[in-house]
Amino acid sequence: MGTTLNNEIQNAFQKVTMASYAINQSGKPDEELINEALDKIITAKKVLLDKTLVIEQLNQTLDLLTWIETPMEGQAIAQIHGIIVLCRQISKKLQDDIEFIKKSPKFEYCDAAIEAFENEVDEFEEAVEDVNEIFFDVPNDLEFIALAKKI
Amino acid sequence: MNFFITDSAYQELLKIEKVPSHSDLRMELYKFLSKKRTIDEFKAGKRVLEGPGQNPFIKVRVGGSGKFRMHYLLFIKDNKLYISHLHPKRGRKERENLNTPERKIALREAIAASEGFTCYEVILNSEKQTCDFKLFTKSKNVL
Repeated sequence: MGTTLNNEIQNAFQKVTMASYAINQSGKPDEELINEALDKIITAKKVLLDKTLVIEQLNQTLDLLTWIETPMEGQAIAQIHGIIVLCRQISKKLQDDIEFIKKSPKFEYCDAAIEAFENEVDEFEEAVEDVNEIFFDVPNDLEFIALAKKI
Repeated sequence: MNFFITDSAYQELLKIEKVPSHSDLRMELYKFLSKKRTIDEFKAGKRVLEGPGQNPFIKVRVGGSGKFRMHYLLFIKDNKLYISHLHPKRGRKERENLNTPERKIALREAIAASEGFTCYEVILNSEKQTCDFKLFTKSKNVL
């Protein structure tokens, strides 16, 4: 075996030994730390899914509301107005939530859940405006009333 | 139940399906239309944009929280369903809610189609799981 080849083998042996030592020294990945991080992700996802479900149900409630005959008067229309005001407050709160979620590292690995949440919020906002239009704008819109008579 | 689409909505559909993210639009429409069998199933839980009488004008959302989410305006009369508007809520052709004048136009076109003005019949192609469209007028059915 030539001197050069011997040196190369020695060199490789030294490197492998050092690498082996370094790997052993670094120890096992901290399972506790990983589990803790995974728990946080799961909790964050659950928070989002729970909220999404609540908004989904709220959207169904608003959809059903639109089947009530219009025009309405008195207490009934005042209650519809109250519902719209409350929904707009909820909508504002949900927008704050979205802003917070997008900035928070806690929600870093929840892309699909964030998207579902944002979509449902978007549907909710549109539903609120539709309810407002159906109960407060359309009944006063002469052109719409004329069209409604045709159907 | 028979399905129809107004000329404007059909032209819009052709534009939307050119966008890669909505290339499966006909397939999704097929899934939606073929799932419903009765008028009540179409009406259940949907939003009415005009009086909830016998012939409702409704808005429905098709598609879930993934990439696909479309809004359709539908008019139901005499066991026939007319699609009078559609727009995606995600992707390149995404748009906000329709404003009141746009809704009026959509309703007017739906009424016109129901009265025999030219529109397209939506044919559910169960073999290919998609929708085909055939030019339709009340007086004569043109291929």
